[in-house]
Amino acid sequence: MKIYISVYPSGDIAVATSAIKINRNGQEPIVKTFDVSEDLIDSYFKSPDAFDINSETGEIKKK
Amino acid sequence: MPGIGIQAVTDLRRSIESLITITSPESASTTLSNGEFATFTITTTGTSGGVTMVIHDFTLYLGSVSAAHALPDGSSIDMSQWQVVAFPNDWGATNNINTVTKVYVRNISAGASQTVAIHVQARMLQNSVTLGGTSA
Repeated sequence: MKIYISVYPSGDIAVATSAIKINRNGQEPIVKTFDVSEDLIDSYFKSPDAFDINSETGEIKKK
Repeated sequence: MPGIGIQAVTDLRRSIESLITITSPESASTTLSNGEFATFTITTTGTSGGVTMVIHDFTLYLGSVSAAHALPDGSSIDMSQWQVVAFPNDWGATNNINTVTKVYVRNISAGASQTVAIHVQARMLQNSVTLGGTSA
């Protein structure tokens, strides 16, 4: 399953399962796509605070 | 004047209901500190390229998905710390073929690094649409 990670000039990120556009503080992001397992994505979006995301590799890790 | 039979009405209702379908849910999230804001733009397009008739169901959550964390109205949410404005079926954003919904959320004073997630699904009168879309 594809995950879309938006990286903003401030260094902040946003994450989406589809290409939902996310504008942060008026900034346009660079959007990267990665393949991630559906189970992991489901777990992440049920409790995003419990995970870290690496915007370079797309790796999602439990904290 | 002849009326429509009960069976015909039932069949008609079933036919109409079968035209309405719901997409799989999609999600997005970002982290906001005091004074920061984000706009989630959800665009749904028909795979055939035809005009869509879509209603987006969406809910915002803070930190994790539970009724207590729903924004607004979650029991653990202080709405004086948040501003939420939603524009369902945004007339100014659609190209008159797709359906676009915008959801603006601002962290007024809830503290640093608050994770806001949106969960979305689309109900539509078309049997094949793409939820999300890059044309937003």
